[in-house]
Amino acid sequence: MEPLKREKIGDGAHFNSVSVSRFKTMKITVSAYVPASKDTASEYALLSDILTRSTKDYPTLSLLEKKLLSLYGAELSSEVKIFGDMQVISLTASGLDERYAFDNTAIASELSAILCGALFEPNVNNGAFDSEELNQSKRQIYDSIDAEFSDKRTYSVSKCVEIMCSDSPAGVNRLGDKESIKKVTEKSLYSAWCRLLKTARFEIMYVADTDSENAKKIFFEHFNSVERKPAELKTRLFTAEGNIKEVTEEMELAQSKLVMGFETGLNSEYENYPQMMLLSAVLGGTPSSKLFMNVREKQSLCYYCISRYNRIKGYMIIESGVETANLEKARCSILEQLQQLKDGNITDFEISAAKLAMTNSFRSVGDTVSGIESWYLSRITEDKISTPEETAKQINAVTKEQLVSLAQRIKLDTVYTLKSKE
Amino acid sequence: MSTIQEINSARTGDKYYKINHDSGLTIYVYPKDGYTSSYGIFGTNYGSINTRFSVDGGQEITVPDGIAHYLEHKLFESEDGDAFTRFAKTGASANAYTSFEKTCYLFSCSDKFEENLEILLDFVRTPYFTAETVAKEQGIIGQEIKMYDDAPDWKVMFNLLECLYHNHPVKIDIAGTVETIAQITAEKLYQVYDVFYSLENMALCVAGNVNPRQVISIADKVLKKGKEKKITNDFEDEPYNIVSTYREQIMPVTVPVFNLGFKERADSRMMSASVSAETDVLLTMLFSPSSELYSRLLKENLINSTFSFEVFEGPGYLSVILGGESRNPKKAADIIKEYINSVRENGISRGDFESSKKACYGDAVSSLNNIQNIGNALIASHFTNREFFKNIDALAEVKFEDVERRFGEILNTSNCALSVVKGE
Repeated sequence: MEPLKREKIGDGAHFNSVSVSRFKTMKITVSAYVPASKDTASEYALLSDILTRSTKDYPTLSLLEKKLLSLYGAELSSEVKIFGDMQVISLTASGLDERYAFDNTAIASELSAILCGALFEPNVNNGAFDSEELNQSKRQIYDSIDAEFSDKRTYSVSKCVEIMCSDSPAGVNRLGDKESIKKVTEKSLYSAWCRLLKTARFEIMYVADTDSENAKKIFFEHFNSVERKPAELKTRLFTAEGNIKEVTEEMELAQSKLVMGFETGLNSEYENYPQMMLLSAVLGGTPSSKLFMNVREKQSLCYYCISRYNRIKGYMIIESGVETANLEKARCSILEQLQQLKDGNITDFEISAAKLAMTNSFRSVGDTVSGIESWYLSRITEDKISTPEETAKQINAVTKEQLVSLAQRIKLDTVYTLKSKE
Repeated sequence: MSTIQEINSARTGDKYYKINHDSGLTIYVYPKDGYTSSYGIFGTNYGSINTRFSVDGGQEITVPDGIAHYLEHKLFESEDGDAFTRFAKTGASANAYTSFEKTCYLFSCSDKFEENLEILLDFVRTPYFTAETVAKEQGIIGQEIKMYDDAPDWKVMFNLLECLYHNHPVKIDIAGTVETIAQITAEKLYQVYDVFYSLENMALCVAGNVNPRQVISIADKVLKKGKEKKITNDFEDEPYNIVSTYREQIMPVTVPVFNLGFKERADSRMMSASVSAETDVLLTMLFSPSSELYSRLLKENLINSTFSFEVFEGPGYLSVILGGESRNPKKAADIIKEYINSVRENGISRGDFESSKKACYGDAVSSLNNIQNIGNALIASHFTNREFFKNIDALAEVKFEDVERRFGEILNTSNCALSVVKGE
């Protein structure tokens, strides 16, 4: 995969680019990293929405969307997520590569300008956001919070994480909460925007065929026109409390959900992480994994049963959807598979299948624009940013003994059950 | 002898090869320069709607709802282990899906392409079902069905289809129900396999780091010509009018979701590339976030950013479905209908047309980035008798007057239904 070119364009602000010609599209994302906190999460969630709803140049959503439509259906979108103990607010502009336009529209520079406009020149007047726009953003974030409840799989996993990390910034809801959203005003949001520009760590990611110099220049000028004082960002690895936390909720549902959260016992996010990724794949990451082969195929208890390792926070989640009557059976069966790992009952086939599957997926990362972007962005806070090829090499060097000794450090911390009423 | 044809797209610089293979199978090979990985998809023109059929003019056969999907799960097993285990030795990521009108088996890999292609062709061509293996799947698919039963987006769509369709089996859940799948036996699986999995009824598409030579050589090795069969799918006549205008279901959700569907005239053939292009441009003009309707619905707090539209099409069914989350779906639906009628009266705008045409064209070209998209779209084009690149050309060439004409044919506001899923 093409290497990342990383250049400093301001205090705590970097312009990262990957020059690649095989795609028919391009994508630019600017991500702001701030410490996750209950006090500011709602404001930042609102900002992610309002900044992509209108700008100074395009003061209504309709004008902005008309402009994007004429740029061959380009998109301006936003995302907000929790990453370790940080909240990340990302604004993205993506569209057709200009080689494929009928007319000679300079799509890349138009999109760079729109994206910069969204972040640096929003639709504000006299130190306040537009009140109609703020109402729309509030409504949108409210609805997004409610929608997470409607999707029971997402809901049950985020409940488990919230319980598990209740005393840590990682347990903060990415969208904040309805009470504090209500309290945000046009002026307080303006202050939050100023604070974001001043204190966030910024990472711009540019993936395109069109030369990045022009976009870099636009961002450089903007970052050097604002006062910068980036806040310190730290993520503490998750540690279990000792007693297993059990929470059960009941709802009118066809299927129950079982989600378990584990401490992995690693001492730093970099230590052993290829080993831990492999361990999670052997346990429940592929159709050859222990969970798939046993809980699903042998016992027919579920349709899905998977494990996922959260690298930056250092915890592991296992989730499944099962019949209420089988909840206990599924729980025992899942823990039994983990015990097998701890006892060293892992076959060479299980290890090689997981290694091959991971190598395969790493080698495919470079075949999509979003694959390249998310690979580098998810590692951007690390001192050394590895390529997929380098990570594959590390994973292929992991031994069975290393897996077993890592497995022995894994501790169950939280069991969240969403139970369907009989 | 197999024949091979090269099809070029001047607009995008892409090309693919269409091969009529000796075995009766049609094969598409779409090389992508600079890509590391490859994607292969092998599918049959057979999905959840094909529950009544006859072969070579024989007696009509009826099979249980959900059998195509059940067969998809079971085909992964063979006498000496399952296909996942074979793919595990190459590292490929394999999967399958069943839709209303097709069943497809697929893999993505970045190494050992030829070996993976051979596994794909071989396992799909080698059915193995026993009473025991069939019984084992009841629990797994039962949980898959229940997972969808709790998904508001899925329920709201099927409730809409029940409002729109009197007889067409598209209104039946793809996986069937716990009751219908209980009737599935190994014999019934063999029966539908023999009918629908003949090579003439199937297609193979590969895209990415591939070339036609290697694909033909694997196909030559694995595929044998079988007996051609004439399959007649029996769909009861479906009237143009709808069944009912409103359906509501209570589920544990906080923000209600809705689908508003317009039933359109349809026959067993799909829209042509040009009619499809006209439809896409028209819907983008009317319903995209840049439209007047979108602004109005937002301003009145009736939709949020989940609002979207789609053309829902297959053999014997065609509808336009709008949907999303809304705190007041009935009012949103009324405004949408009122807006359609007022635009019909006042006419569509040329400016909106030009931008929407560019946007639809941009989307279509962008989809050529992704080898999975390419493979899936190639196989869909094959089963609907469309040439893949024609869709892009049709979008580049669509005329304002044609879009106006198309508006006269669809979106009849007295032939639509609203489906809502809301909390208590």
